[in-house]
Amino acid sequence: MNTLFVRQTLIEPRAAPPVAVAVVERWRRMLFPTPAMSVLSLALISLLVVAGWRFFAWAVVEAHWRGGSSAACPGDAGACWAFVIARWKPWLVGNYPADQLWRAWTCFAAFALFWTWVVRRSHAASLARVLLGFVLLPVAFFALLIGGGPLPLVVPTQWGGLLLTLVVTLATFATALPLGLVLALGRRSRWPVVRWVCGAFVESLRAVPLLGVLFIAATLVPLFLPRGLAIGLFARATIAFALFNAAMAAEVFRGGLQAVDRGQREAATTVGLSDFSTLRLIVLPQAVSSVVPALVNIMIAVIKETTLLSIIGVSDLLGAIEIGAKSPDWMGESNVLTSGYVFLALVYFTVCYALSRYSRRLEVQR
Amino acid sequence: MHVRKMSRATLVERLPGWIVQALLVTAIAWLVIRGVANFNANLKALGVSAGFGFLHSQAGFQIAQSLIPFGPASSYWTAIVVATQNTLLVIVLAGAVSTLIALVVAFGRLAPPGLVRGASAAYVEVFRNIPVLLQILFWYASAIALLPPVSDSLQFGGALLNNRGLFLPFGSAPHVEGFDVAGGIAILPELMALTLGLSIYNSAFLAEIFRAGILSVPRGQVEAAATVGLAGWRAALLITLPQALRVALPAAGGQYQILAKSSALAAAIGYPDIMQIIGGTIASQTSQVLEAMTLVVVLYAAINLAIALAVGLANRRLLRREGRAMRVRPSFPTALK
Amino acid sequence: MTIRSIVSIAGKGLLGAAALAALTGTARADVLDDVKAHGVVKCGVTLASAGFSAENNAGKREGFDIDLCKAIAAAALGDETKIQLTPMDLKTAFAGLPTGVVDVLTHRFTWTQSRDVGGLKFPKIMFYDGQGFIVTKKSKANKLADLNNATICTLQGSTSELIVASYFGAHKMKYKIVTFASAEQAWDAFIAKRCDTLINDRSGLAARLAKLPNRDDYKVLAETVSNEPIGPIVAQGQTRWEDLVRYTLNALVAAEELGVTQANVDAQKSSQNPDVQRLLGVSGDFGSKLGVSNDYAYKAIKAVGNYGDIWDRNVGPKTPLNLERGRNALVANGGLMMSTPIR
Repeated sequence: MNTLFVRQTLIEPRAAPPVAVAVVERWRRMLFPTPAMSVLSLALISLLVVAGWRFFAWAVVEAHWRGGSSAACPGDAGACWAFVIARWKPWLVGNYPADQLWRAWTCFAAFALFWTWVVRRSHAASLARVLLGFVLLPVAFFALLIGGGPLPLVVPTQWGGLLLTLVVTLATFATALPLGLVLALGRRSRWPVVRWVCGAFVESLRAVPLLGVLFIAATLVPLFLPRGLAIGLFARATIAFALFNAAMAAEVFRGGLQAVDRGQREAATTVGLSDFSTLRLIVLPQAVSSVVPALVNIMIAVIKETTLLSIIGVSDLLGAIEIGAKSPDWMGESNVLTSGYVFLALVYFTVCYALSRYSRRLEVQR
Repeated sequence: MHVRKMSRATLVERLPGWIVQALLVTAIAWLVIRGVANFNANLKALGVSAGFGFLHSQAGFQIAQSLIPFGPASSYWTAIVVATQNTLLVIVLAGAVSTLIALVVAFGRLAPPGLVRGASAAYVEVFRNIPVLLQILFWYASAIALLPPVSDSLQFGGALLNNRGLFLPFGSAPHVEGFDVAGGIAILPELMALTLGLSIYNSAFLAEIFRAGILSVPRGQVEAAATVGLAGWRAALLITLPQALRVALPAAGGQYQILAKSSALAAAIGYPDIMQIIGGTIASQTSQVLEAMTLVVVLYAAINLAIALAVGLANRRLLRREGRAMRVRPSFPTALK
Repeated sequence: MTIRSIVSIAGKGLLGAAALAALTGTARADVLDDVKAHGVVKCGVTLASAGFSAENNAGKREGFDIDLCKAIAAAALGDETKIQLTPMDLKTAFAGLPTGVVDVLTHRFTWTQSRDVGGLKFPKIMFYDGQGFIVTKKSKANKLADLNNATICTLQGSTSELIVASYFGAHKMKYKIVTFASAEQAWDAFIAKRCDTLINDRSGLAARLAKLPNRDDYKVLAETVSNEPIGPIVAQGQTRWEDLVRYTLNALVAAEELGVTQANVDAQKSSQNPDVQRLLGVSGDFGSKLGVSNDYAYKAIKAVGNYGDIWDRNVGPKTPLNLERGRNALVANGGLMMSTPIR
């Protein structure tokens, strides 16, 4: 027996065999698997192409970018981004004094840093720390923005735009979360009066539209306040927001509390923990961490709901754009307002979509 | 350290329950008494007298859309009825349209990977992440900007479409008469924009709810249907959908409640609903803010309750038809808004 | 940091809120004292009305109403920058006065009997207006009678809504109405041809029309269907504050009558005219008797000018609005505007 060939080295690794189906074929299968789907796909493609091109033409090709008044945007063939660019200050910070703007920038930067830390290092950022951040940040922002002491006073009626939206969102979150937790615990209390009060509060707020609650805060609440205790519209609206979302958060927490297995509590009692310690050490940590994705969803809802402030005359991001479109320099061109709306849609979509991705990631991690 | 904490905890627990409850009741009673006293003082300062007596006096204004006859000579009470009907109308319309869209999108999201699936997913992501108020304002601005004036009305069949609304042949054929369209029934641009905005926004959430429902239907059901010769859209319609809807119903009911509540955004575009007519016009014209807002709250709560009851009833009937209790797991209200 | 500490922080927060709610307010002594104590005048203004209260590109509010607020601050505190502006609409404005959310409404509200009797005091008329209808020239409507069957855009809950109902009812004319929460929304809807006509104060119509590129396509019908005396509003029972607002506005009108302007007010201080001397606080104690510094009118005029200066700066011929003085001209020039004698 003679050996004809002995291989001395390993065979070089080869690239994966080419896909059996050609790229064109793969696309065909994806887009036109059956006649019915083909028709649907064709219709969708043509719709997307036409709509996409028209939007592109409107938003980029024909758009107007420069100018300080509606004269810069003749006709309505193209978007009027000049409006958004020229009025950057009102929609970003409202009427915040120009020489104090660093305070607003600090808030934006601090929030961006905090949020990056939460998202990028979710393991280092323990739940308690994150929640604490959400309670402390708004307080710090509020103190910095309103000033007093060495800083000149800047009252909330001078805040506006994105800054106001951010502050209201954070303030709502900071108050609605603890209050919601208290309400959820109250609804499970062994004292009937506490149960009823908390239950009635949550259920009645959940039965009414947020706009109704805001209308009440804007028009009715001042009549119930004593003379001299003048709480401004902004503060009343923020409180209404917080109470409404506390009711929403209470339902989320209630779900989380219910999800904690009964056995856990029984086991805790067996080892001699008091009711309070059981709640603090056993029930709450499990309940709260299980509802974190739902809490992020509440945050998304709050951000979207802040637009309702514009209806009662608080100039949030939407209000700032609408007031801008009615200012002497920009009024009379419907295209100006449409461009503002499209810009806002992009802003809200970016923020809310990013948050919803984050919420989904949390859900998967769990 | 730990011992101290424990002792404090037990102290709170040892507090007799009646003390806490009595304190709570006293605090609430005190707030109510103070509030009422302030309210009376402020009303006196504004020269307004409280009470619902105004309901029977003449309203003196006109309402753009009414399902029953209404004119400036009608009473405030009639105005409230008209406003409530308008709210119910938009809720029913938007509920139906959003359900239809949501079903299509839900099945689209479960299609094999490709354009249809991608487009459905994009639809959901885009429209649920843009505030519904912004969407309604956008559709309204677009509707009145893009629709032609009365003189250049678009015609299809007997129907007319212009920036005064969609006029459907009903009773008599709609025709242009001077400034306006006479005959037929009108769907105002405000109603169109509100229905469109509410439908599109809520359909994005409903689609996700329905998708979860469809996914919960065991594969065996569709395969069994296929073996008896039922496939494609007929299997989807006859086998998958009924079972999916049953699972989706409680969550969908919650979404319908959200839809009903957000119909109050009508106030932003001038559709004469409960919020606009009662909370806006009547409250400012009569200065009876407390009475008006009470009516608003009660009406919305009643609508909300009615939807909850209807969904509960439907759910129970479905379960009974099933013949066995459905296993209910604690639900997480994650899709809040 | 544990959940427990969060809960305890929340508990403390709730306690704080309860303590805040426990603050029982005392009856407002007089707004003038509050204003002096806080060092700021809080004015309620319209959300957006070109020429009267509107934001410029930097986000600052400017206009006729804002200047009036500045004049009041200059008179009360000697500093026209000490103002706090709160945009308010019909729904929120009136409840804000008795509760002190705002001290004065330098707004566009009409002086009506029910408002006056109902606890809102109008110290002085600052603007004589009337409501009119605007139409497109294409509609071929030349007078109100041509508006039968028209769709009308207007502001909800306003006097306009009632004026339309009574006018069309009295003339047996039919109409449809679309009401909006703000006058601006109603205007946008009218421009988009949602309605055939829009009813509003004639000044408002002119102001908005002036900004339209195709303003020649529109016209305001000649008929004025109502009297709309417009002025600042204060709460009832605040007599010293009401007096200060009244005589600040009065001083602005008197200054125009006497030829005292923002430019020459310093020179006029040494005027030999006894009327000017009393106006500017050189003689007499008219300011001190109001409870403010004796030269309050000088400060107000120095800050914003006389009535004519304010007019010219915000709505006059040199502005895009280009309003005619008309009824608002001084009596000497055939208008209705006159001052109460400072004597």
